[in-house]
Amino acid sequence: MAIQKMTMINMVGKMDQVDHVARQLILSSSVHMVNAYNEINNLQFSILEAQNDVGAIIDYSHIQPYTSQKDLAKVEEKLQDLANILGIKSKVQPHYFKADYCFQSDIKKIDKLYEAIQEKAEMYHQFEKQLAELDELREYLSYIQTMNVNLTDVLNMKYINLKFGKLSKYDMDKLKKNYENISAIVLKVNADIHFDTIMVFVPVAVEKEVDRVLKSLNFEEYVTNFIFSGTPADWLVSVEREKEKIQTELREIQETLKDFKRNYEKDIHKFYSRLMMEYEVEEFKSFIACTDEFFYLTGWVPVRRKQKLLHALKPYQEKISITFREDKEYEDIMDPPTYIENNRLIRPFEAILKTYGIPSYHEIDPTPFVGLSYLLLFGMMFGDIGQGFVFVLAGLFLMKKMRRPNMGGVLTSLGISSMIFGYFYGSVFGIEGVIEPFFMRPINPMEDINFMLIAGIVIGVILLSISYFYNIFNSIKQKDLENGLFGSHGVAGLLFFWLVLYFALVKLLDLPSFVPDGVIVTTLILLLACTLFRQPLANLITGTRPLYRESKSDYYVEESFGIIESLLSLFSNTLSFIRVGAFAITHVGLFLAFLTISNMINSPVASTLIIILANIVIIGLEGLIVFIQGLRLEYYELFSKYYDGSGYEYKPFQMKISKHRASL
Amino acid sequence: MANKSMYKVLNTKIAAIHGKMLAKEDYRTLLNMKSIREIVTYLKNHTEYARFLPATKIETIDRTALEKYLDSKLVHLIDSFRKYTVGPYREFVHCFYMKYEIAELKQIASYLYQNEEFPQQLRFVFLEKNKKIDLEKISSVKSVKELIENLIGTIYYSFLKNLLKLEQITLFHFEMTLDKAFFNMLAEKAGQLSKRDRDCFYKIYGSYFDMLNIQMIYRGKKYYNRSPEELFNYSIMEGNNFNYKKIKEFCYCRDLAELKQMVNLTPYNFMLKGDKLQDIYMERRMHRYMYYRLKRQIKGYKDDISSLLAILMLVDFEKNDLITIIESVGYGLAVEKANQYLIQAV
Repeated sequence: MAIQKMTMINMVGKMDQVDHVARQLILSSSVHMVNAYNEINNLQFSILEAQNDVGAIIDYSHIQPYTSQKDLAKVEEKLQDLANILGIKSKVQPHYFKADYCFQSDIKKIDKLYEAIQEKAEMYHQFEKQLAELDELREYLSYIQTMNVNLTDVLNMKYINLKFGKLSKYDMDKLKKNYENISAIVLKVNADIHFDTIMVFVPVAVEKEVDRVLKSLNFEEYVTNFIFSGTPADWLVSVEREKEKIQTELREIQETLKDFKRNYEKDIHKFYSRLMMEYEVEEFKSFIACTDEFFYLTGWVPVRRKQKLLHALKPYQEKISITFREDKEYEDIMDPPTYIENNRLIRPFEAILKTYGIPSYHEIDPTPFVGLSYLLLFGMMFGDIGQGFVFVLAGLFLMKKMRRPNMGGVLTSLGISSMIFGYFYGSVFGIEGVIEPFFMRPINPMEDINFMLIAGIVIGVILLSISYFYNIFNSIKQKDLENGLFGSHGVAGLLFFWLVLYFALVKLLDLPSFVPDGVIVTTLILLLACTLFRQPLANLITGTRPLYRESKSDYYVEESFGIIESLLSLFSNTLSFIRVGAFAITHVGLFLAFLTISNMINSPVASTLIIILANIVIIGLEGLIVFIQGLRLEYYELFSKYYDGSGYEYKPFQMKISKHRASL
Repeated sequence: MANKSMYKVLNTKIAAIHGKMLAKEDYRTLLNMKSIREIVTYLKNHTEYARFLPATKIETIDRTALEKYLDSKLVHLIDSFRKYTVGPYREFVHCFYMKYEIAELKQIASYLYQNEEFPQQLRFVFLEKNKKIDLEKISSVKSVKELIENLIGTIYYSFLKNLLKLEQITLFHFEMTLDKAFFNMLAEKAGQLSKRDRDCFYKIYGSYFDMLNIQMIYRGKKYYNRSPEELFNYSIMEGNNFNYKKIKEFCYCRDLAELKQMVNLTPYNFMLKGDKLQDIYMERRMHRYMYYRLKRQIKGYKDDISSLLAILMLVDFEKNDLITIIESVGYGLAVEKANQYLIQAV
């Protein structure tokens, strides 16, 4: 339940093994790849050690990023063709690429298969092309189908040629403006938003000139290879007949290939699966660096997956050398990715965290705190057994049916929290007094307004204090004395916060104080001074020089404003938690308004409807508002105290089949 | 829609860019230099171009490479204007990538026609940016036909595909088709701007279109022997001073002398002065005419796009001038002579 420890894996191996190793690493889906070429250029890749193991002498200057030489698109094209002709829908089946194999020999097999049906394939394509041509012809014919002339005769005229084609609106306009100079008759037969379709009658004697003019207008001429007889309407009938004929022929080809399909269907699935894997391998290899003989790769692996990874790579042990780097120094330079692992209950709240930022590797994972505090805040603001139950149902629906585990998980937990508080408030779908409280008197937010508001602040103070602790622990972990001890969110800040609270309580409630006022005020001033001088103080203690990282005057100007800002925010952040109580009251108040309306109506049906409407409005509108207010408290009031969120996520390289390739 | 704050942001940015452009002083210093290396070092140490030049090995930069580094300033410029604009304005600014992509495509085509290998240091900074273009494939094509086929999926393909049906694609066709594509697109996108900005666009570009038409008609007649119908079809209709009837008159003139007579009656009479060097100077004269107009325009910083249009052209002119300077230094031209080829004379 924390941020997982990572180790850096460096690997050097013979180039002829790279495909196999890549496949294993992709299948293991545990390596977050780092671009090896960049690392070598930054001289952070510990090649030198690895080099001794392999016993290879490598000239650094020969190391290059990997460039793909495989033309997988061609293989895919052939495979796709095969699948189309045979009427197979290819699927990715993982067991085909889990075993060891050589894709190069698969390519040869695909070629052979393809050759075997090449003749049929060519015929198939020829027919498909003809179908497309007929479709286009049909389009043109449809524009002139009402003309009652023999089209064949017109096309066969001796001294005048007929052309069909398209012109853009812009060019059509030009043609119109210069029509008197064009030696042809132009007829517009159709127009859509972009193009005009035209027929051009050209005397053969001037065809060349007219062609040149049309060319300069970007005329898209349509030429058909089919000649039928009769009027355009007759032609259309013939086109349909021809199309049917071709479709029958296509089916016949597929029929004759049935045996072939039976024998090779499995192979095609196999090749297809492996081809998809090969795409991944090529992408994977974009992270490696290589020379003619060796490859280098580097990445991050969670420590607990190390053994499993080594096991998967066992068959290639002889030919590759693997080193792991876990030392602290390394982590500092390289900044590992963050891999958060939490139990099922807390995990959905990672989504809330990640919307703000990924925690850095050196931070404490705040998910449990975020989860619990958010549940508490939400429940308090939106406490109702019935409405909470609706949230639980909605959450379960999202989780199970819509496959939205994060959203669903958060919603379910929120619902449960709402139900628990609903019990304390004694409210079911807004109606109070339905349930018998069995260990305490229900709190009615409307009646205990002051109690609710103060409770909000008390919870705020507790949550804020925990945030301070988080920041202090983070600073200890990162050995950051400046912020941890003297910072406004560190020990000094926390003491100041508590002391101010104590002082305020004593003064407001007129309690007897066991510390004289003067001491308290002096301590407060001292603590403020600590914050103001935190950089030089910390540097004095650790012995770091120079004392200031920037110019002195800049530092003090910035810090004094910083102090004013943190004093203000101390006040506002604490008061901000009043909203927790306030929204609890609103929640009841809104329902009360609806209840009053429903009481004023005499019809029991109408008043029930009003109550149902009230619940829908409250769940939809208020639920959303409270959801957002809770987020605001987390992100603004609490995260600003302790959460950095400057890390990046651990994303292991794994098989991902992009949608357009999911099936051929 | 465009609001005042967008213009304010744009104009502040433009004022900053304009302020950092090369001064006459820089031009004079550069013209007096003896080698490309000196020029590059000067650009690196004293000008805004520093950030677009590599940090090391500047001694290996040749003319081709330098041109590309200068181009990357333009990329940066258009990028940032895209960031500061919204909606149809962003689309309009986006068109300017097209202008330079087309220039690079033309460059590729001209190498193909001359059967020359691409120079080592040649890069296509604009095509590189276009995700729809596979530059690796494009830089290995052997013919213009292949080049067009490899543009499938880009906006250019729809314009160029009809050329594929021809037996022979001439460079003239290729270039004219692409130019037309650009101006069509630019006019289309300008049509979506507010009335005021549309007027700004035509006020500035209208004259440019007029001059391009005259230039195209002149060249088409003199060098390519094109029919009047073709010339008319390739002309741009959105000019300032000429309607289609006037353009038609130009296209259907009897000979070049008559064309010169007609042009002399227009504000663009400087284009066809009839001197010996008019063909060489024509483009420079057009640019210089635009330059002085834009110089006046840019200072306004009004709530419209006129400053934006101006700065885009001015930076382009500056780049052209720098290349001219490099070339004159390379050929050892005297300063006065080189000065004649510059858009912004010093």
